[in-house]
Amino acid sequence: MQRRQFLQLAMASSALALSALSGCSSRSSKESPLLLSGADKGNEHTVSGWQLGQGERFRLTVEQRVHAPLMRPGSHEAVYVARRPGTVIYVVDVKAGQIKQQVLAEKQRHFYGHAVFSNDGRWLYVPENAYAEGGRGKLAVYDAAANYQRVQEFDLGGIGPHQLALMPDGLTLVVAMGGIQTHPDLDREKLNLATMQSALVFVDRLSGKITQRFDAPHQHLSLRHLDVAPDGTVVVGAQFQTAANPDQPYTGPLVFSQRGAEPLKAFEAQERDWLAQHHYIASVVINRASTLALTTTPRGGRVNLWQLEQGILLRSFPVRDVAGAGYLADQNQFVVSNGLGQLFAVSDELQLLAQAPATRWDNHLSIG
Amino acid sequence: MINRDKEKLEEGLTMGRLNWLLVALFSVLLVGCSKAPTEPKLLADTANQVISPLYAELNSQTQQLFQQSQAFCQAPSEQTQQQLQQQWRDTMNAWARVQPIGFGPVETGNLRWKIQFWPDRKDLTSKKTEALIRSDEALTAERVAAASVSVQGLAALEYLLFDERVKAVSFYQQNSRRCELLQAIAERVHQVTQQVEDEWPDFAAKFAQPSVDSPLYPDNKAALAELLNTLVVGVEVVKRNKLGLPIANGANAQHAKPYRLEAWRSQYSLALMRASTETLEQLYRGNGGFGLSAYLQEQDAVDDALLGAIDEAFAAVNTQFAAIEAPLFTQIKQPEYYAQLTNLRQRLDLLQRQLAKLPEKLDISLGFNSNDGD
Repeated sequence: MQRRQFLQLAMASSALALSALSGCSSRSSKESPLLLSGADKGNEHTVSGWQLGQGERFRLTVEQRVHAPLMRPGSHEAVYVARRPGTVIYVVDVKAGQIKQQVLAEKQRHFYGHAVFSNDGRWLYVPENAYAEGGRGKLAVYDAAANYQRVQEFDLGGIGPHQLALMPDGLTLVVAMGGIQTHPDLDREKLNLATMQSALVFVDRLSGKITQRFDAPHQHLSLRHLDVAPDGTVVVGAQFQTAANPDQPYTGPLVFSQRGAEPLKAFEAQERDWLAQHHYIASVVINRASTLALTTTPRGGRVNLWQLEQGILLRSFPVRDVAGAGYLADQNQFVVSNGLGQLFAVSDELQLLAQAPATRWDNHLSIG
Repeated sequence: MINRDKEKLEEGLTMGRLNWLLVALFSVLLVGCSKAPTEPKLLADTANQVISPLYAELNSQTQQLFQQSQAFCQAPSEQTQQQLQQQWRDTMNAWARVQPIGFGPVETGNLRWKIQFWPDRKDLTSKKTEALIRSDEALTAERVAAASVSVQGLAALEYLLFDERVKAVSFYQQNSRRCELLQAIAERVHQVTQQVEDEWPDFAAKFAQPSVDSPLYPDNKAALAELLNTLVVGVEVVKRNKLGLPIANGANAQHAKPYRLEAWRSQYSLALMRASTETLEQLYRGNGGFGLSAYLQEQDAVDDALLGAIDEAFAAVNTQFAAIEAPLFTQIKQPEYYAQLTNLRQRLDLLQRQLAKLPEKLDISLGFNSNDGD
C-alpha cells in the first residue's frame, strides 16, 4: 500500500473513531440504549456502561472478573456477577456510575457469573456451586429490596448451573445445567468429563420445585447459555467438552430449541457450519418478535443468525473475538461486542456502532 | 486537459501536505513517534508475496489432480494409478503449505474441512465413502459438495487411492462407481481451491489495509495479531496434532499410534509436517518481501537476542527434519527412530516458545474471549 493511501485511511479511521466517541448522534441520552458489560483494560478488570452515541458512561475497576451483567427492573441499578470461581456481585448505580454494594457469596460457595431478577425487580436468583458438597448446583435467592440479603436457596438437582432466564409466566425459571464439576482449589479444571450430565431444568421460583427437566442430547454437550422468546421458546447454546478425544472434531449441532413439553430440538446447519463454531457457543439472544435468534462463538470468530421457528441458519458473519450479544428492542436490532472494543449492529449486514478505546468487552452484553 | 490534471496534481499535493500535518499530529498523539509505520508494508508483502503464491500453487495442483483422475479413469492401470498417486502427493504437499494460514477465505468461507477432513479418529472417511459408492445416487461434483465433509477433499481421495483394502486397479475396472466418485471428489476439491484463490485478493486487501469498521481487522495490531497467532498456532498444529499425538507426546515408543498420523494411508506424513513448517518460516521471513523478521528488527521492544533465538530454533527444527527419513508410519515404534521424533517435537516446542514471546513484546493481544471459556 502507498503511504498516502495509508494516511487517508488513518484519517478516515480517526474521524470515524472520533464521531463514535464524541457523541455526534442526535439521540438524546435518555433515549439511547445503555450497554452493560464487563471489560478488561490491560490487566485490570472493570465493569462498564456504554451509551450508544454518547460513549462511555462509567468504567469502574473491580477486583474480580465479571461475566454477565443485568439491569434490575424498575431501577437504575445493575448487577454484575463475578464469573466462576468468583464470589462477589457488584451492584452498580448506573446513573451515578458508582458501585453501591458488593454482595459476597456464602462460605464454600461461588457464583457462575449469571443471575436473573423477578419481573418486579425484588428477587435476584443466582446459580451457585456448593463445592464442598460435591459440586451440587444451588440457586440462591437474594432480596434486592433488603440490601441483597440472602433469604433462601434451592437445590437444582445437578451440577454446574450456568445461565438462567425467567419464562414469560414470570414464575418459572429455566436454567442451563452445564453438568461440569469444578472446584476453586483446582482453578477451572473440569473434574467429571467422563460422567457429566447436562440438562435444561425448569424451576418454580417460589417453591424451588423442579417442574421439568430435559437432558442434553449428547453426553458431552454442556448446555450453558440461553434466552427465552416472548412466546416461551427457549434457545440454548452448548459447548462440546470431552477429555477422551480432544482432537476429534464434533460435527453435530450446538444450538437447540425447546418448546412446551417437547425435548430439545437441534437447529439445522451444515456440518461445516457446526465445525466453524469450534465446539463453543458463547451468547444466545432472541428478538422480541420471536422470529430470530443470534449466537456468537469467540473461538470460531462468528456471529450466526437463525430463523427461530424452524431453527435454520440464515447468515453467518466473521467477527474477531466476538462474544457479547444483546437485542435493542427500540431499534429492533441485534448488537454484538468483541475483545477489540468494537460494537456492531447485526441485521442483513454488520454495521460498526462504536469502538471503545483500550477495551476488551468480556463475555456477555446486557441492555440497560 | 493538461492544466486540469496539473490543478488536480497541485490540489493533491496540498491535500497531501494537509494530510501529513494531521497525520503527524495523529501519530504523535497515539504512537508518540513520528516515524512512518511499516506495518502496511509488512501486511501487504505477507499477503502478496508469501500467501498468494501458495493459493495459486494449490489450485494449480488440484486442477492437475482432476485431470489425472480423468486420465486414470479412462485407462485404469498400475502406471496411470501411480501417476495419479504422485499427483495426489504433490497436491497434498501444496495443501500442507496452505494449511497453517489460519485466516482468509479458507476460514471465513469455512472451507478447510472441504479440502481435508482430518483428524478422523473414527475413520468416518472410509465408512461414508463406501456408503456413498454403495448407494444408487449419481456421483457428481454437486453430489459430493452436498455430502458430509468426510467424503470430500484430499482425505477421501487418499482413501480411494492408497488404502490397501480398496486401491487395487481391478476394483476400479470392476466397479465404475469408484472412478465416478474419484473424479467427482477431485473436481469438487478443485472448485473449492479455485474459490479460495478467487476470494483471496479481496480478503488480502482487508488484511493489508485495516479499517476501523472492519469486524476482522480494525487496526494494524489486529492484523499483526493474526499473523503472530498463525505462527504460534501453526507450530502447535505440527508439534501437537501432526507429531505429538501420534508419538504419544514422547512418552514411550510402545505407545506410539501410527494411525493417528496425518496421511498414514499414503505414508506421506513427514513431508507434510515439513511443508507446513516451511510455510511458517516463509511467513516469518517474508519470502523475499518485507517480512516479519525484518519488521521485528525495527522494533525497539524486540531485542536481538530473541530474534537470534528464533533463527536458531528454526534452524534446529530444519536440521532435525533433514535427519529423519520417511516413512514415519512404519518406523514410528522403533526406539532409535522414535527418539529422533521426540527430539523433533522438543525442537518444535522451543520454536513455539520463542515465537510466543512476540505478542507481549509488541503489546499485542492474541484474543480475549477466544482464548477463554465459560
